[in-house]
Order: sequence, then C-alpha cells, then structure tokens
Amino acid sequence: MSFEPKIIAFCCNWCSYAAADLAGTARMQYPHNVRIVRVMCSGMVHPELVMDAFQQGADGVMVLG
Amino acid sequence: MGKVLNLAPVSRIEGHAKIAIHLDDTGNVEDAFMHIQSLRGFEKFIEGRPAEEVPRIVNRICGICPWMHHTASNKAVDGAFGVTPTATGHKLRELLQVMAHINDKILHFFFLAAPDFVLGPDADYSVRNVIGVVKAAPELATKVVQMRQLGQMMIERFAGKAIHPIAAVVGGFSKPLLESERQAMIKDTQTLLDFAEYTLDFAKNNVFNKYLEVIKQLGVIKTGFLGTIDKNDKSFRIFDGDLRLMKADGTFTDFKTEDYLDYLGEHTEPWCFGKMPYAKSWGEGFDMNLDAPKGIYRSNTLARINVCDHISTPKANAALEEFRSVFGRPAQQTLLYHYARLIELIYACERTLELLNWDGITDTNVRAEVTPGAGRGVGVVEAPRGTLIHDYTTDENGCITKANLIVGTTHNIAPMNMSVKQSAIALIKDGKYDQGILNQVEMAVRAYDP
Amino acid sequence: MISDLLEDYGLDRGRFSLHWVSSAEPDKFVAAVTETTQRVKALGPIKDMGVTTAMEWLCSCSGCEIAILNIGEALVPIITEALDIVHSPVLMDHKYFGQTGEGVELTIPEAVVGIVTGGVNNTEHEEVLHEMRKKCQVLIALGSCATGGGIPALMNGMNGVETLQQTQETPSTDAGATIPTIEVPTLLGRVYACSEIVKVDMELPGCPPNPALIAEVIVSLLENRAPNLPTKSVCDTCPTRREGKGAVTEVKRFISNAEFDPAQPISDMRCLLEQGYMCMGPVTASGCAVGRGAPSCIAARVPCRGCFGPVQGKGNQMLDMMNALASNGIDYSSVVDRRSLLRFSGAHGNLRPAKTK
Repeated sequence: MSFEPKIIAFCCNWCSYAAADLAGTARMQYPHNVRIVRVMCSGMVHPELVMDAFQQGADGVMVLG
Repeated sequence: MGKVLNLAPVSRIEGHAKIAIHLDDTGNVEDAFMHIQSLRGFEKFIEGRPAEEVPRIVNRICGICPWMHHTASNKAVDGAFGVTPTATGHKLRELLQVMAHINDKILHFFFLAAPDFVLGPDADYSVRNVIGVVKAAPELATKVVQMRQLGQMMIERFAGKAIHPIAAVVGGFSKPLLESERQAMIKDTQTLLDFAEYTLDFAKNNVFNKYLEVIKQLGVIKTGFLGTIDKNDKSFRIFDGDLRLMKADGTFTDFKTEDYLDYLGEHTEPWCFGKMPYAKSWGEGFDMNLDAPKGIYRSNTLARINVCDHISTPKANAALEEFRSVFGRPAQQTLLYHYARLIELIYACERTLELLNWDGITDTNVRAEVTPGAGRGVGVVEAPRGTLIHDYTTDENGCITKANLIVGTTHNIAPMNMSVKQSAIALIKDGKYDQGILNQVEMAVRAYDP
Repeated sequence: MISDLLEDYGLDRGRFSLHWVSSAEPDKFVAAVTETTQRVKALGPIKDMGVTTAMEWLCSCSGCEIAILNIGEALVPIITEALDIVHSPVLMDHKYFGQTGEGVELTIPEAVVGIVTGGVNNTEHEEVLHEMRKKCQVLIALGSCATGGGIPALMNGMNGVETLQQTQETPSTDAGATIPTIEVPTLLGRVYACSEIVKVDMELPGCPPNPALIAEVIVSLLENRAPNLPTKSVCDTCPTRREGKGAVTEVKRFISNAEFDPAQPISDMRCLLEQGYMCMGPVTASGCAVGRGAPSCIAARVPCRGCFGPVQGKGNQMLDMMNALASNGIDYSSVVDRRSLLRFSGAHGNLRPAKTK
C-alpha cells in the first residue's frame, strides 16, 4: 500500500531508448514506475513538456539523452 | 537541568488532552503525565432543569457517543419518576444505541487509529492521518466512508437526529418503527455485518499479526477491569445488566448498577480536569505506581471483552474464543483495545439484527404513562469509551436537584497516565527521541479511544 | 534551469533529472531509473494545491466534527483535493509546540480558511482562538457553541467558578478536591461565543450543524461566492398541519407522545404547538430541514428546542418565545424552567445568574 510514483522518462530515440530496449531484451530488472516517451532527440524536450507532465499528474520527470 | 516535552494537543482522539514528558539531566524519563484540559460542569448546570429535558441536554457531553448519554440519562429519569418503559420502547432504545456503536467503532478504527498502522507509527505527521490513508488505499477508504454513512443514515432516517438524538424519551420512545423501516434496516445491517467481518480479518492480517511485537510491549500495564454483563447468563452486554469489577488476577465481584457508589470512588489530581475513578471496594486506596498499582481498573472495549463469560451472538463469540486462546483472560496488552473493539463491532451488528427480528419491535405501544415527581434514578450503559453512569435526584415537580455523572473515558484516565509513563520510559533513552517515538507514546493513549 | 523553476511552481527540484545514457549502456539506464524512482518515492506524492485549512475545537463535544464526516462520500474529494488541511487535532498530528514538544509558543500554521467549533471557557481556548484569528484569512465559527455558546453556556446561568467547584464535591468524589490548577488552563467561569473574543467572518450554527450546509459553506468559499444559507425560522420549513391554536391556553411538558399516525408523513401530523407542546420552532433559525424534508426533531415527532439559535443574529429565544405565546393568549408562566429556552444561546450576555425572589 506504499506510494508508487508515476515517472515519465523522455528518452532519445538514438541512445537511451535503445539502452532501455536493450535492458528489456537482456531481461534486466528496473522499477515499473517509469513510463517511457520516445523522442527523436532529448534536445527537443522543451521545458513546457516537462511542466505539462507534472500538471497531468506525474510525480517525477527524467530526460535521458 | 532536565526538560519537559509538551505534546499538545494529543491528536486523533476525541477530547482535549496534553502529554507532558519530564526528562532528567541524562535525557531519561523522570515522569510523564496526561493532562485533561477541559472542564464544563454538566453535573451542575442540569440542576433545576425538568428531568425529561435532560436526556436531550447531556448528549452534548460527547458528540461521538451522544446516544449512550441519551439512553443512560433516560434510564435515570425513568428511575427518578418511577416509570417502567414499555417493552418496545425499551428495545427501541437498545436498538438505536447498539446501532450507534457500529458507526463509532468504524470511525475509531479507520479514521483515528488506522493511520498509525497503515502508514506506520514513524511516518511523517503530514501524511500519517486519514487523508494519507485515503491516498494510500483509496478503494478501502471509500468503502469505509460509505459504510459509516450507511450506518449514520440508518439512524437519522428513523430517529431524526443521529448526532445529539432526541427520539428516546422518559417512558420509552417518541415513535414506533414501521415494518418497511424495519426491513430496510435489516438489509443495511446485513451489509454492515459483512463489512464488520471483513474489517476484523483485515485487521488480523494487516495490523495485529504485523504489530504483534509492538502489542506485547507498548503501553502494557497490569490492572483490573470494569464492564457490564447479563444479569442471568453473565454474557457480554452494552445496554443493560449488572456491573462486574474484575481484579488483575481474574477474580471478580458482580453488583447492581444502582449500588455503584459502594464500589467506585473518584480520585482527583490538581493537574488534571478529569477525575480518576478507582475501585474503592478493594480497600487499597489509589496509586498509579507502575509496578504496584492500587485501585486501578480499566473500562471500555478490552475491559468488556475481559469481564464477560461469553458473548450471546455466534460470530462475535467465535471471535472472542479465538482472542482468548491467543491472549488469555484477562488480557492486559493495551493495543488489544483495538482488537476488542472489532469484536464488539461484530457483536453490535449481530445484536442489531437480533433486535430487528424481535416480533415486538414494530409494536406501537412505545411509551409508558409518565408523571413527573420526586425520586432518584441511576442509569447505566456501556458507552464506546467505557461504563457510563448517570445518577439523578428530582424534586416533586420533576426537576433535577442533584446529579452525579461518571462518564466512560474517565475510568481510563489513571490507566492512560500509566500507559503514557510506561511507554515513555521504554522508548526514550539517554535523550534519544523523535516525532515517531513520541507518536508511539500517543498510540498508547489512542488505543483507549479517549 | 528547470530544477530552479520547479521550486517556483511549488515542486521539489529532485523530481526532475537529466541523464546521459548511450545506446550500449542498458545498465546505466537501469541505474538511472532505479535511483530516480527511489528519490521520487522518498519525496512522496505531490502535495495538493488545495486551499490551506486549519481546524480547531474549543469548549466542544466533537459533534460538529462528526457532522462534517456526515457529509459522506462527497467529503473525500473535499479533504483530499479541494482543501489542504494543515492543522486539525481530531484528524492529524500537527502539534502546538513543534512535533517533539520543545517549543514554548503555541503555534498553528498559516491557512486561508480556519474552522472553529466550540465556545470559549478557559484560557487555552482563548489563546488558540487568538492564534487561529492571527493565522487564518477567513475564520468560520461552526456550530451553536461557537456562534452562541451552546449547551455549555447553560453554565452562564450559574455562579461561575463557585459552581464549578461543586463538580468536585459529588458523592463519588474523594473528599477535599478542588478545581485543578497545575498545568491545566485557567477556567473563565463563563462561556463565550467566538465572536465575543475575536472577529469572526462567517457563522454557521446548529447542534449539530447540517452537513449539507457545511458543504455549501466550503464549496462557496472555493467558488469565491457568498454561501446560500437559510434565513427563516424552523416553522417556515416545517411541513406539519396548522389549523390555528384552538383551545390551547397553556403549554405542556413533553411527557406524553404527540398525536400522529406513524404510517403517514409528517405533513399529516398537526403542529406540535397547536397540540399544546412547547415547541421553539417560531423563534429558532432554520437549517436542520435542508435536504431532509422536515426539521430533524419534528421528523422524530419531538418538539424543537432551538438548537440553531435565534432566527436573527441578535434575537433572544426566551424573550421571543414568551412574546409568541403571550400574543396567542397562551399563559407564558405555564413554561417550566423558561430560562432553559436559552440553552443554545446563553453566550453574548443572554444568560446570567438569575435574581431570585
């Protein structure tokens, strides 16, 4: 019954998303709290996008390049 | 030079209190007190009032258990006026009082006590509350709110007011119960009984088993117990019967409610507005010494569960047997008040169904003829917080000339002080304490549901 | 930059993080995600942006707090989303003197809304009420004790502390007891309504107040509009049948039940005053009937005793009732113990020790 945060992870298509994909195929365990959003480049994640995620109920936001 | 920690207000309880923990130079507990902070004077300002009005005045002693003050007061007025209520009037009073017990126990367990167990005794104070519980377990919380509301509305629809009731009157009740109302109540009570059983299971799995070590230690003291039992088969009663005063060794004396003055006295301390009832009849005086207490007994759920021979309703009795097989009789662990409270919740639901299924409950002869006059009456019921005693004397006009009240919580003021001291000494060592530790001291008080 | 701005928006900076992970570093990805999850978990849920609210109870019985609970399911979003409760002894553990009790000054956090139940009968109540006034933008007095003294103000008709001393001399109390004075507040010997001590912005009477009206007050504050509250008397909301007073020349005590057919609705029952019972409907503020169809005591077939206080703020329930009886040719002296008609409005100097003949 403990608090399970919702975390949005913006991942770059070319690096971190591929890493996440690899983590998945390698069956590495990571917390189920993250929701991955694939973006073409982490540089395109405008601050407004981050605030939007918080406004829509995210408890934390990560940007992975 | 030592220091004093003033924990004020004691929170998630239903009254006004402050805990003061006195530490010595080494940071260890020198002494600890629970000060009751409120005095209102009900015993005096009902003097001169027409006695039949008093049951709708004294319910304001407590907004959480107004029904118990209402019924105890009505019984005392019956006695003073020399009236015997009609059979149906008597049972309707019991029905409403027992129904009020249902809501009270749901309220206490989930709204006031549960945050300590669901979120943990050390959780931050900003989340360690019912709002935190709602966020942590929204489905359960919504269900709890619905169930409590169901119980409250069941009372309000029939009796007009659920808080500060008016429908019990000298001689009986103000109105009869209709068949359609009875059927609706049976249906609702069945739902509440299911929820009560679910609650006890939930608590056994998530609270009592999980916190067994804490239960064995926190606030544990050794005292006697006071509660009501059936006049004949000595089973558990909350509406009427005889009183049973049990010593810590399990031996007991039974007596008639009107003889309470021969058995109970009230000790006072200059640092506490609440009086401290004690067992005068034991002839040993009053002492809150943790190792050798004198005259100290406890009241409220754990006491009632300890003093009764058995419970007359099957599901509650099965729960009682299981409880006794684990914790013995009398059980002394303070946190078991919570467990006993949930056994009573099941009893209250079962007893409500029993009363609703009694043929005479819809009879229209609900109030006996009443003539105000001089006399004395003692009305005793078991309130959620303990044995409740109203004792009135009236003049020839039927107005109150003298009143003596011993309300449920007060029986436990001395034991609460002892539990506070016991837990403070056990938890605070060499100046080490934090908000979580101090909250555990409060948990020892909260178990008594003051 | 984002981390800095987050704080401006009232969010912890630790809720945002930037990581560099290349396509061949799944372990780095897992570590970053795990670490962030733990950090956000520790920060807890984002605190509601609800309206900060502080609640206090003074010389009270907690019936008002139960009435708040009786709002029912609608209360859940109110307390979890709409309001952000920062202090409330009955619900949460915020302490006056710090969470470990080392402070010396009684402190309540600042809040937009303050709700106070109960009147004032000791120095601690006074201190708490002043602190509430200081810290809250809008102060609401909830329930008849807070608005008019309520039942405990019956004490105002007695002899103050002298009478309270007698509570220490009951037959069950050990001899020699005096009123406690150590580490407990000093008794004032009278009960005051909140507005006698501080400025109160809004009053909602009732013993208990009607849950529907409590919800209306809270919602109206959130919507920034005036609350829609009843202004008339209990009689105006009472469905009982009125035919004129007939032969009634005296009022009787409620020692026999009213005449009515239980199978029929309240509207079929004749007005209780017309049946000859003392009923305070004419001189009492309405409110109990909202959402219920009939005044709550009348629904139990029992006469009204005035628990919402006078119809107009400055009304006087005893005087108004005697007036109503006399002008209808009913003998006002047939009311036994008429001073107790002030039992819900004994503060504001209404009830004092009587001058006995």
